[in-house]
Amino acid sequence: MTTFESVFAAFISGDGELYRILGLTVCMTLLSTGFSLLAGFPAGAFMASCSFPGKKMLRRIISTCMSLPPVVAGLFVFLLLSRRGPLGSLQLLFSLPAMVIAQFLLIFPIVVCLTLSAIESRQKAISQTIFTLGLPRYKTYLLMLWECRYNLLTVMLTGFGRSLSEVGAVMMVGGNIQGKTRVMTTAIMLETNKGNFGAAIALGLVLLLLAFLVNAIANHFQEADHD
Amino acid sequence: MTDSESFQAYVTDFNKPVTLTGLKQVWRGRVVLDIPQLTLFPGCRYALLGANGSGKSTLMNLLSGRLSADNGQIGYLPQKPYVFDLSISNNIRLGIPAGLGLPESQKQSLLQDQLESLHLTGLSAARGSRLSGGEAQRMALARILVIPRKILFLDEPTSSLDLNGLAQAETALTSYLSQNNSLMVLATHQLSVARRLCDEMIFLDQGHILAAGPISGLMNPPRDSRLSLFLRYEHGMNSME
Repeated sequence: MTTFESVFAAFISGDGELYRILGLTVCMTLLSTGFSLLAGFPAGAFMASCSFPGKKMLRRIISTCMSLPPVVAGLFVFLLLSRRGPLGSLQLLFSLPAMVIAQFLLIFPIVVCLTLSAIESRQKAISQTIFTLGLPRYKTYLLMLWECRYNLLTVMLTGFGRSLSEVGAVMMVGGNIQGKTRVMTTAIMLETNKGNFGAAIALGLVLLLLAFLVNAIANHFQEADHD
Repeated sequence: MTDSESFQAYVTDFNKPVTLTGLKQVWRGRVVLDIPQLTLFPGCRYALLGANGSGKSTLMNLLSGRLSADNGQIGYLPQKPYVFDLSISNNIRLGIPAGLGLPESQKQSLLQDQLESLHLTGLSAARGSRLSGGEAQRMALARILVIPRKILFLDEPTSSLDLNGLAQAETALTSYLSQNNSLMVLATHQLSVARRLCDEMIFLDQGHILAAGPISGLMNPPRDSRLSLFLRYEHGMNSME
């Protein structure tokens, strides 16, 4: 895959290398976004609905983490997982789990902050009615999440987009090893460095197509729900 | 029963008068409500009257917050009830406390009764987000009336209803109150509704009770009193509508 045409030929012919890269990209994106949503939705909902000492400071810290540079997240995970690091014995460096952990650090704060804002924006209107109905806490959370589902879908897509487009952290802890940790963004970077701009652009278009498909599916469900 | 100032009162005997003391609310240094003592008698229907900002909703909030009871025996319908984006049936079902442990058949029967009584049967599957203001208000009323409650606090429950909807809501409320002998406090600007549904009135002005007594007192208020001015203004507004 060195030219624009060769990438599209590989895409259409079902070339193993390209589809391995695509598969790993999808796998990494789903895992890192999935874990971030699993942890971030409840954390955001909890922060929106509860008061506790240090809440304001925690909010500021998490907001700041939204701007965490990917290379800093990558460096942190690299040090954590390197042979002499605290988790070095797990031998996770330059593997898919390392890439997922690094992306989790980047996506989790985004999910928490956006979930918190989404729920807070509706909470005032909903909370009085929920209080007067005397609903159990778990039902309150479920209703709150249901009422904010469109906002949460946007949160999900934002997390997905961040994961799909991220390159710095993934490069540092994944290493762009062919057949093992090479994903679309690191492959684009490699082709650019080699001067194969046509191939890099073609890979970029394939990545965009993937993003378009995911957004189209999500929007389809949203529109169907509106109708 | 009597509560202590600012403590929650747990009501167990609904056949005794409820007395609340120290109903006071201060907002940004301004006293918005100050009622040293308020006694509500079982089975009585109180109309809470007053101009905008007189403290009606604040009082309703305080009353519903200070009084508690098991299994939704006290119901509170706030001025702006939230309609969840669920079906109307599921919205109304939220008014049935899980603690009652009712079987599904009975829940369904309670739901059907309310849908019929507030003429919402045709809308039972409609989503909450699709309702008009009047339909949403009837739905919110149905959610409160879906189970028998001993005390009802209703904050302007009919303000968005047209004449038809108003008649349906009044009929539903009258029948509910007579069946359950519930105590009701109804905050409203609609004097005709207050006269038809209530037997006592509490007139609030700038956070204080200026007049209280039988609703018939509305017919002959003291000349040039604040109540008299309020009634003249509200009569004018109601007749314009």
